[in-house]
Amino acid sequence: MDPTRIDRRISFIFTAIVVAAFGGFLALGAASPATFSEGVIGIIPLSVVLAATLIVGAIALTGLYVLIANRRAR
Amino acid sequence: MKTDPLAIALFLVFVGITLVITWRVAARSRTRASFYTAGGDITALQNGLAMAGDFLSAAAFLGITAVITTSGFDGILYALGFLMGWPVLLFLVAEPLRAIGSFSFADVLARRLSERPMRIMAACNSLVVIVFYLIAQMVGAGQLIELLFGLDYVYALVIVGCLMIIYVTFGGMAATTWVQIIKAGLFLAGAVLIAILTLAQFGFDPVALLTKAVAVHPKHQAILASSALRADPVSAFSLAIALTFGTAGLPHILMRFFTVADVRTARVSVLYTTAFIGSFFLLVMIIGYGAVALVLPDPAYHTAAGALRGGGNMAAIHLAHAVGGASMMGFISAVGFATILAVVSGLTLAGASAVSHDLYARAFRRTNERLEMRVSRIATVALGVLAVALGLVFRSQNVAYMVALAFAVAASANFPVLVLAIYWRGLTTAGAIAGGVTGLVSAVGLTVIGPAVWVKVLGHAAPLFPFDPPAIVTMPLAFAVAIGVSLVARARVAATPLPEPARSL
Repeated sequence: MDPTRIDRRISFIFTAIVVAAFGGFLALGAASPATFSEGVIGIIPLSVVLAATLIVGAIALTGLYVLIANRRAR
Repeated sequence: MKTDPLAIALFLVFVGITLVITWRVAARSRTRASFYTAGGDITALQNGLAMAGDFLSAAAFLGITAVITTSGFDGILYALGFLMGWPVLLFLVAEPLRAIGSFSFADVLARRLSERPMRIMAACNSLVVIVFYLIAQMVGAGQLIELLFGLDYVYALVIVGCLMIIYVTFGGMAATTWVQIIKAGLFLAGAVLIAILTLAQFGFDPVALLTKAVAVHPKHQAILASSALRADPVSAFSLAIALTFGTAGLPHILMRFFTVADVRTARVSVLYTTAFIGSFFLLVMIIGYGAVALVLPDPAYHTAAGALRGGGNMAAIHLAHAVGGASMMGFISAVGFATILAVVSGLTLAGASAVSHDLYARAFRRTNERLEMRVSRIATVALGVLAVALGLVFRSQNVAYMVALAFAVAASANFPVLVLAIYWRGLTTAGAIAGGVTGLVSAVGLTVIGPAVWVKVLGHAAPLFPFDPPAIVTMPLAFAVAIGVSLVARARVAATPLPEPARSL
């Protein structure tokens, strides 16, 4: 096996996390719009807080993956 | 709108700098590797910026701000869909693509399966995606430049067409990369500046900003939740699928992984891109709701009929004026023009490589490198002329669906075949072709009979297919057809009795 390549299971697990997080976010918005627009920090609603968390989470998850993959490749 | 001299001056500076870079790298773009991939010399940070520059079109900035201004949270759904594609692209496709391919994603398919049919299919699917994307960019470019600079639509298209031909023909990937890096830098700086100036109007208190936005918007509290998810959740999921998986099937994005030295650098470059795009979309939330709070209640930005001057897409530009005056608006206008140039240059290069590398050199086995380079440059000029012509033909059409269609085709025609070729040993050439063609035909066909074209463009009362875009149906369909045909093809081969000499062996 090419030593620079990462275990495929890790790729699939990380993909599943992204799809589940984004899919869960959409499902919550579709199933319970009232919960979505509830204010959690003053008027700032859950929808905006979750969206910002998803964005930051996607960057963090990508960073974690790169860290794992590039460490294994050494 | 009055022509702004500052916007024109800044735009001329941008064009001047990028033309000098093109001239300087032209001498180094004479070999195939340097023309298609800048010789693999691009660093992770440069490639990360260039991919962000390639991906963040004017639609991402002006379009998403416009959707937030009119509908509220629905614009943020678009932003999330655009962003989520990047981790998926990294986790599933980037690494094997960089390890196996050399110039285009068709290299991966050709390595696993029968080369010629794979190259032809991949090139055709790529060109379809690129043409849809180009039409949307060119029509948007013409309208935007007409509004921002007061320049006639036809001249605007010709200027964009000529500049993209010059960048790609003479500078290849190196010049295109630098155009995208400079544009991404300006784009991110512009977004940071507008967001800071907007927050400054509210004492850097986002709660105060949102409170004002909810108070002045006609929909009030409803702008904080998604109306699209509530009204048509299946279409919203379908859009999310198209944006998330389509990114991993966009030929001009996939091509960028060959511009770096190795797999590690490719991974780090996606991290940079995700960070840049993610940060940009966080800023767009502030800009979008800022436009609601500051532009919507100001009559100076509205026509006598009450509509936004220049249309909904001008909300971000008006906000720039509201928070930073004419100079800020001029700067953002110049960034808008630079954005279009960078995106169309990347698309044109990917299209030219599909023609010259995948079709001419590999599918038809022409091995002369000099001739391949010549074909590539001819293809660039042809694509530039075609883009201008299509921009003129579609001038008065509503082409907003074209970017979504490009993503739907990429998610349905390219992504399933690419993923199966990488991860499933059972994929056969027949299965890959059946899956790719099914994805392409179903994505285009169902879009035509769906709400975006059948109702909004052709004027029918109701669509024949309800979901827009159709990726929720077409992507699984392409996977199913590719897997099904491969299994049948393998079963047939296994069931075929071997001739006597082979059996005795």
